[in-house]
Amino acid sequence: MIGVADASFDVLAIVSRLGAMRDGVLEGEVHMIAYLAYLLSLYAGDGADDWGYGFVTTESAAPFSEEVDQAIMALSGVGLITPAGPILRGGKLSSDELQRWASFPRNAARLPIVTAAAEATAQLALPTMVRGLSQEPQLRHAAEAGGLRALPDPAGLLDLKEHFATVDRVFDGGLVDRGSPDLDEELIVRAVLWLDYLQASNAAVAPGDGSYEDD
Amino acid sequence: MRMIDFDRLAQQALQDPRVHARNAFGAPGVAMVTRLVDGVRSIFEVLSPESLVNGITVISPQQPDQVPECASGLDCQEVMSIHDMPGEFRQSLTAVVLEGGKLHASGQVLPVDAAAASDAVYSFHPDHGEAIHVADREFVPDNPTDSLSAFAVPTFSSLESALARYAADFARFGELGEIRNVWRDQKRLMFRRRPEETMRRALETHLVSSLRETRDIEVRPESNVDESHPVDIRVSFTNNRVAIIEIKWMGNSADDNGGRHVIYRDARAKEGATQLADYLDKNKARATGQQVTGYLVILDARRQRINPTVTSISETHGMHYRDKPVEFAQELLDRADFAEPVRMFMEPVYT
Repeated sequence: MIGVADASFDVLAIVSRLGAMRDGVLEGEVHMIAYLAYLLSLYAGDGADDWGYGFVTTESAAPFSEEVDQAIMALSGVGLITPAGPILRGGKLSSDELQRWASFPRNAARLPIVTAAAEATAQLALPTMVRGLSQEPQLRHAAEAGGLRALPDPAGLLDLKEHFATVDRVFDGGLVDRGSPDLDEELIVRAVLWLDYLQASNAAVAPGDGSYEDD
Repeated sequence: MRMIDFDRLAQQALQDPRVHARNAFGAPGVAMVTRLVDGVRSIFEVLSPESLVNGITVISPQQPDQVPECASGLDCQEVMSIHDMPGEFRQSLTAVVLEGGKLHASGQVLPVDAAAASDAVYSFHPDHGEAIHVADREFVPDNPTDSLSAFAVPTFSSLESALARYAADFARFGELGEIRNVWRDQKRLMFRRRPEETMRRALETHLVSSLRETRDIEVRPESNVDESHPVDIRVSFTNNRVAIIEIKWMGNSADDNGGRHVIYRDARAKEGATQLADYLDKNKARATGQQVTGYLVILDARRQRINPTVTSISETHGMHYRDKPVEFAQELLDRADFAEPVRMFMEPVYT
């Protein structure tokens, strides 16, 4: 039950932040952003099992959480998030409730991390964030290995740490301080840089100049 | 494992205004720039960059609870949200982004250098482009899209919507973005020789920036008879759906001297449909649980009474084919894995 409670807080925070945007947020994107928040918790020094709930990869190597799924249904059921077709939206009620939930110590500790994930997404635009995150080591491992897989993937976890260490080098080796009051800003600036790099590194190779094929 | 290239990442960091703001001002600097980008995106949800003919300046002060001094000389209104923006501010705007999404707005455009050096500023003008200014540096956002602003790109959760938008906003007049490079002449009478690569890249640019829930978008590499990439664009979605897009054009093409004149009409589009169906059939066995759907996109620039020596065209002859769709075999259209072909008529400049 703690897992669903954690997921409910995360979903409420994500939809409150992003659901007001013109294009809203899709269910699959909520799973992606919750997964990004989990990765940022690892970046901040939390253990792989500390997040409260887990993820698996779908057949298309996208992250999925049963707890997030249940949370979306539960929050929709009580009107704290509003499905509009495939789009999930929040509103004043969800913002007010989020403020209330954020006062609980367990949620207060995760708020800067979930905020950072949602804000990094808002900075980049959703297609960029989704494509970038699809290239993170654990999801790439899953895509290459195929099939449904539980996350974290041990091999992918090691690679992820390498990625984070490289990002830290850009900031002169400065590590993210879990207890810092500026944790969300520190995670936002790193997450945006990292995701933008990943999606650009996977950009389609443009055809070079040269002879054209006979069509 | 794909490692991160540190040098490339460091180079990218130099182009990131958030990193620069952090270096200059610490965490408050990051917060200031993120508020700025949030504010710009929300403004462009309501106002299109095309409508801002006199430009826009958006200021995010380091102290988000205070209206900066530079705005004190403007005739400003406090606006609780972008949706409350007065109608008269739609051609030129200065907006100060404050706490809680509040805006302090004016219909005058404040010059960028009027803002304090400690604040973050966004500027846009249709003639000069856009930039973020922070800590004495200017950052021009990477904008591979066809939109006037990198922050104003709509997103689509369905490929059909994205293609419809492309047809209406880009293909129809063929003068925005990369698609404008397909023409042999300024009146859009004929394509230049071999426009296929440009057409692929133009559509890819649009899909990459606007199509949601995509894990990957691949464009066919330029090679002769590449068996591994027989279709033009392959879109892999995060929900295990795959869309394969075949692009065909109809119309006329020639080189600058009028040589190598090629004429493609309906048979070309029908050939594309058959090719697509064949590919779907051959690859069914390899689909491994993926739901694959084929999309035929037809860029239609057919004209009447056209040849390489024609330099102008009447409305009658230029628009003759606008409402003349291609008739495809019903058995193709009935296939569950074959989406309805999307014909995008590309209008000429007629006299």
